Amino acid sequence: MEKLSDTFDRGRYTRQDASAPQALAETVEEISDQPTQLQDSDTKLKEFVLDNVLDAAYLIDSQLHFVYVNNQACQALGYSRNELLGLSPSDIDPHITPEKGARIWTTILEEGCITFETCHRRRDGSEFPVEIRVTLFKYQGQTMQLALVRDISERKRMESDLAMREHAYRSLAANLPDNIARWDVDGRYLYINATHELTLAKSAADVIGKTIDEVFPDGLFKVIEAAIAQTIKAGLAVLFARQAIPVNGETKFHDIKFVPERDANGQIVSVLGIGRDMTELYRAQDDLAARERELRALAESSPGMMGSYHLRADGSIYMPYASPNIEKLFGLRPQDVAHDASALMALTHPDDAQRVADSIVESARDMSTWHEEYRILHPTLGERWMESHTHPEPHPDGGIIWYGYVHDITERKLTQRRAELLERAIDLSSESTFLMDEQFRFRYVNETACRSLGYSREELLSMGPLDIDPVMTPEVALEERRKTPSGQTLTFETQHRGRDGRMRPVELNSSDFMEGRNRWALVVARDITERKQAELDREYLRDQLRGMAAKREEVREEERRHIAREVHDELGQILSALKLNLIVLARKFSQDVPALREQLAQITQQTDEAIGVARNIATALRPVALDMGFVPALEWLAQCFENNTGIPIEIHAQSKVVELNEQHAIALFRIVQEALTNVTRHAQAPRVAIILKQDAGDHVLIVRDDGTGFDTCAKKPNSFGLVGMKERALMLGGALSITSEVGGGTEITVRIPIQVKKEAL
Amino acid sequence: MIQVLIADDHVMIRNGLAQLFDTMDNIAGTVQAANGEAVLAALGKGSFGLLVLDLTMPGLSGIDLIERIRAEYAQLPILVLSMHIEVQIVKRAIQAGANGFVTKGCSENTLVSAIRRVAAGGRFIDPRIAEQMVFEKDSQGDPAPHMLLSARERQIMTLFAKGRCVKEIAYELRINDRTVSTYKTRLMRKLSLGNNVELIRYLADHGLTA
Repeated sequence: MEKLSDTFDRGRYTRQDASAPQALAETVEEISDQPTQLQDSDTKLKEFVLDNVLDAAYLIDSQLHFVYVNNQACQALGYSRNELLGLSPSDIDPHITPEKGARIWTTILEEGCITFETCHRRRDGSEFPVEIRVTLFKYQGQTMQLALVRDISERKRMESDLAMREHAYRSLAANLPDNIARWDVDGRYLYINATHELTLAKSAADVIGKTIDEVFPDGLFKVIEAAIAQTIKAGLAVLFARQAIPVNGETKFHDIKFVPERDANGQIVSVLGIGRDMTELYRAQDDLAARERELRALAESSPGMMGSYHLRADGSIYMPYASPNIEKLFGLRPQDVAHDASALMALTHPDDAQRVADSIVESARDMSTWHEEYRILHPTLGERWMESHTHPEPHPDGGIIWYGYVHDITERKLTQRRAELLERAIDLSSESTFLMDEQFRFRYVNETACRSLGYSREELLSMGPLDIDPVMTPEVALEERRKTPSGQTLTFETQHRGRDGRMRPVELNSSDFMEGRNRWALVVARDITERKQAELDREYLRDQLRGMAAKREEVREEERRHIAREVHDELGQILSALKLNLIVLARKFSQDVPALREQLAQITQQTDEAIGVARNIATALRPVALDMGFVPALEWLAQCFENNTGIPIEIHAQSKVVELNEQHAIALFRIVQEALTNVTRHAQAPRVAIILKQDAGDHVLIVRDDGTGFDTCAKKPNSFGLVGMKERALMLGGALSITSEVGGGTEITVRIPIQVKKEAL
Repeated sequence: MIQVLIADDHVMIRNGLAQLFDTMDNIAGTVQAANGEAVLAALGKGSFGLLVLDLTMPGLSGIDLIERIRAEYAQLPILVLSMHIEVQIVKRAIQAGANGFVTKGCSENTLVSAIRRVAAGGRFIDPRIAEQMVFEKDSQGDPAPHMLLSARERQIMTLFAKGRCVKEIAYELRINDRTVSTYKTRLMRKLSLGNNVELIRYLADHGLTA
């Protein structure tokens, strides 16, 4: 700090003023060395000179009395010349002692002059510092002392100020958070402050007078050495920014300013280094830069365009930032809009321009987010759909700045349009369509569904199949879902209840499909009211027909029975009576008439034949065995079958059988007859079994053969035999099933409820 | 000499029979009845050595009538003379208590023999019917369990009876193993059988083993 303050002060003070008293003294001395013949005039001249110098001048004789004082002396001390001439140096210098006076005298005699500092007391008693130069002076043959006294109050005060300032500087330097060091031109430490002691982890005492290389032989601060050398070479203050400085094993970044210091001659004598730890700042800057890089990377990697739009107070608009994607989206480069974004605005589709402009105005007015979908006319791609999402903020320079994102939604729009078209198409479909999620809620319903059920779309979308299908229960729904693998379609009939409570028969086509992990079901419902009605009508007609057929069958059976009885009982009886009479006739009259006997025998034989025919006709119409009960009738039939075909029949009839009524008996009998006819015609069966039992309120009749069988799927559609059998069973409210396999025989099973349903007849 | 009661709703038959009896020895005379009630009334009034009875007459007739008469007149010989030739009817008539059965339209010899035999306390059945009765078709009562099997089940049972295993049967019938096993399980249940040993025994008992 000594040096530092010297730098500032020495030139100013020392050079200008220090040598002044000396020069004056020399001048006076030269004057005083002139030849003595000129003494009087010389004396006058000397007095004139002495009265006009700035210093106070005293001539002191060997008795230490003032023999001459100049004006300056009188003014400085506040005495008149006469008063002063009566005094001696000890009167005005309170610090002078006889010893001191003697010493001064001795020194003067030996060396010719002396300069010293002391104090003078004014007439009013106040004191002030002075510098006194005393020389020997030959005057009128006497050796005297000439004392030139200069008031050095000002100098003393300045020296004191300087000392204080120096102290302040030292204190400041010592306490500054910055690192401060000074090196001489050879790179030796001249000074380091407390902060730099900490940075170097060395005390000032350890480093002062040593080079950096000597203090840090490991070359830790080579950079600083180089910087000092560079500063000296440049002869200018040099700032070394962001110098890596190892501090306690951690790298800190300092900005260091090196200042060359010069002596009075302008020679560089030292280098001052002021270093500040900027680590935090640099780190913050780095973070900021990294953040910006990230944001930029984000902005640039996004498929859309990020940017800011500044609407200036004058209404013009430009884009302070636009990510490079602007080129892809709009065919413009960031620089094309950096000062004026009107080129971008001009791309907006004419049909959408007004809407876009209005919504921007609204966003600016309300400071609300600007979100808009609009079309642009891309210079090369043509019409594209864009979606913008920007947020306005007031701009510090006035106006509003929006930050936001624009991306191309053309694909999405197309998809959306397709979906809308599809939706419209589905709406136009004449079939109700429901899209159902996994929780059995409708997520989409078409217009037809709404119309046919009488609900609004909103109402339906809050419902599910359970709400419109009274038959459906959660269990059934789950079961159906379980049964329907994804990708398959289940078709079934059920009923839908509309808002009016009316039930509508529907045929559902339910297709399950997976969308990711979500399971959906597309249900298409066709109103089958008409079809159902037609079915009912058909069923009714069929029942009517069946009833008529049953009636007709009954009538026919009755007629047959009647004719059979007529033939059997009447015609048969008549023929029998005829035969009886022939017998009687023969017995009475033909004993002795061989010709007659022969003739009668012939007639008898013919009568027998007639009886046989009558009996056959009757039996064909209705077997008499039926009158005996069903089992005997079966046995009779079997007997006839065996006799005619040679195929053995086993009959297994449950012993405790509720007797069949006439209608059942005839129907079953006719079925067995037909079945046996089929066996005869087709089966080539080695044997046949007929089983009659009762099971669960049904009469069950089974006719089974071990014959060739046939493929039930390929049976001829016009096999009236089988149809007839089925019809007979149906007429009685029963059912007939045929199982047969090629090579596996045929089995016909008839079930007829024991309790005849009245409506079936 | 016996009195004969002729019961038939046809007067021609009655007259014919009356004339026939006239030609026969040991016949004291004939009384005619046209229906069941008349028969019972006649039986109540007179004593008859033979009833020649038609099965189908108005009112009480046929099997019921025979049972009724038999209940009151245990010794009265009844010869059924009917248009019917069905064995089942014959059997039931005999079971009900008729002593003989001939069909109308039988030969003179048959008729005369029947009258003589039955009147003499014997039994007579029209030979033509008798022949049928020998080969009579009769119901066999409750069906054996295996009769209730379906054709396929029976087929598979038969193959088991022949000692085939499931795989062989599957191959032979061109169906898969599991189907065969299903059929087997079902037929075993229908036959109330628990295991293969029982199945073999059942097949043997019913003569079903090959």
